Amino acid sequence: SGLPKDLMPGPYPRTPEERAAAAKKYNMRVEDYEPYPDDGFGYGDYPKLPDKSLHERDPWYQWDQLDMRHNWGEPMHWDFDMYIRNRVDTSPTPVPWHTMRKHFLIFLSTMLIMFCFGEIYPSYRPVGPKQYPFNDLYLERGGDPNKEPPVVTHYEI
Amino acid sequence: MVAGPPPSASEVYRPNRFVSLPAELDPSTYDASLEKRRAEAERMAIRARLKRQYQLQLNNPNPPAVIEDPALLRWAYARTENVYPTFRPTPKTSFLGVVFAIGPILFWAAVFKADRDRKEKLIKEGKYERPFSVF
Repeated sequence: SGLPKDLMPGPYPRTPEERAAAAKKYNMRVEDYEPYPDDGFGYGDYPKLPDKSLHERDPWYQWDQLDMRHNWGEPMHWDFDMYIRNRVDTSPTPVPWHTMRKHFLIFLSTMLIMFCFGEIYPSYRPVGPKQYPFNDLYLERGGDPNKEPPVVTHYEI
Repeated sequence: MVAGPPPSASEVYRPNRFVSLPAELDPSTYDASLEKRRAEAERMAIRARLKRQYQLQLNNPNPPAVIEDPALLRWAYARTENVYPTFRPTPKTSFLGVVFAIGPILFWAAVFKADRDRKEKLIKEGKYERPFSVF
């Protein structure tokens, strides 16, 4: 609605001329421009930019839009709203990701196996049945106050 | 059995969809060839042109009410209105459509029907204990 039709995204570019025109439209170099593969998913000629979040962009450069770390007219990633600084962060980690995943899964599986083991074979100090005072709570349990309560001893000498 | 060359740092790091390669391990950081510099110069020229356009609009004594960003408009258009014209039924898209769109509907319809039939059977046999009953 704001731009003329030839400046808006269109169908997948088939010929090299269409590619060059699409690269020029998106303000990219022809060598940098790489559309999404034509799988019929609905991407059209939108460029496939590297999947890097905005956390990785230089915080000290004078961007036109400082919070979005984005310059006016620069092509935005298809998942731009996912890669903003409040959301997904793809910055490089000090430890490789597969190492982190391995350590986490080892810890989690060990803990889960130990908890399941504890459920199947519980282990606690020896316990006996609970002992109640006042002749096994004879009056509290509705016993007749006129009758003699049965004497309950919980010990043996 | 001859061992091959030791794995490079980026092969040990294995960047994927969730983390990207650090610049120190990326061989292109240490590549000072002419092609790279020419490519960087071209990219900087495009960036400078766009910055000039933006600054001219920004510092205009009669600035427009809203400085539209064509990249933003294209992004919004591509994600909303350009999907249907460029969509094409292929084996992959049809399979995904069945699994994620039609599958859950049929699955949950079957689950609810089975649950209701079981409850109906229990009620008919008189074995169903009503939860939340006021009686």
